[in-house]
Amino acid sequence: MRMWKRFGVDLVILVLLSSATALFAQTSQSQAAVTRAENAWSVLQTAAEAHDIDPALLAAVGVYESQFSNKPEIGKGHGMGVFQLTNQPGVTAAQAYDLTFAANYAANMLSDNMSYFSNKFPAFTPDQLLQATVAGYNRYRARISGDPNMIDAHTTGNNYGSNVMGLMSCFQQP
Amino acid sequence: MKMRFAANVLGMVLLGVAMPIGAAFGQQGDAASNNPSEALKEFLRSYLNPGPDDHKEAIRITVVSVKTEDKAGEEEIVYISGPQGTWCGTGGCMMLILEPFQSSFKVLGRVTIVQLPIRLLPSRKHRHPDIGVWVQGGGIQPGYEAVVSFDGTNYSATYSDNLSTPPAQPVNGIKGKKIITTTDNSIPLYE
Repeated sequence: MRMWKRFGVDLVILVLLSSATALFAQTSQSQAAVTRAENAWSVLQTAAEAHDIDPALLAAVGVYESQFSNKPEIGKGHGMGVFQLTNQPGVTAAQAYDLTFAANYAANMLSDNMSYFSNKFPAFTPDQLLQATVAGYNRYRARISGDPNMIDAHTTGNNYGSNVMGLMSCFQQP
Repeated sequence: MKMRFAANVLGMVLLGVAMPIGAAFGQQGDAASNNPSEALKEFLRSYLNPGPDDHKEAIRITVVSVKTEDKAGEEEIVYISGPQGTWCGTGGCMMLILEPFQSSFKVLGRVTIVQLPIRLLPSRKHRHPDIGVWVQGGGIQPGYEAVVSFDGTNYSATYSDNLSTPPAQPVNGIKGKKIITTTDNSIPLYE
């Protein structure tokens, strides 16, 4: 009986330990992703300024999409590089993995989304406009709702825009 | 006699060449002829209803007909693609499952963020085949295949129209046939 009790305690400790290890690994991976983005700050800033968007937005998209990792195995052909660009007219695989090109391309898409949604939904607050701008990076933008509570509907996890916006706070003071 | 023999040999050679091509097409390639009817294109134009800033000229469609055991006898799997940033995003593009209805179509299913390939699975629910779609991007790395099943009324009610959220479940090791693997053969919706 005592042995079983001991086994149970050991099991609980093991579970807690493995959860803590997983959490630590996750946290340290996230921190590494943020650090990679900070190391690329000059590229991000240049691209963001050229398209009149916040560099923190660009950094947050890169971290959320790929952990700011430019490895070919991330995406496996569906999306490529830090910003998960797809193979389409105007984007080659080499360009998608070229951080300067990809940052500019992504910044242009985000900027275009911002203009699109500010025209389409002029009553959006700045935060709602930002959320829609980001959501439109993840799914086809034509069907994104003008209802502020539904902006993230049908995006990955139904929370893509708000999650990326949350990540922006990591980059306010790089 | 010699001529008959030569014709037989030629026939066998041609058959030998054609069979592997056919087999490869059936196993690997798209089952789509992608020659949608004007009625289907008209339905899609009306359903998508793009606005003036939506670059409708960039919308492309890939269509595959699959058999069902229901009254209509078939359904159309439609993958709607276009440039990233307008008609697709990092989560993928939209897939519609349509059934012929009177002289038009009705929507049996809509999945908003789908990556390729789309597979036809051997299992069926309520006389309609299960469809496997790839889910990846938007922070989901690596991707996974999720199954879309018919619940007797439509495809989306069972799994919601967003397979990146519960109750959609990743699946592994289900045999099936890839029916759309690429948008290379897609055609413009507006010509």
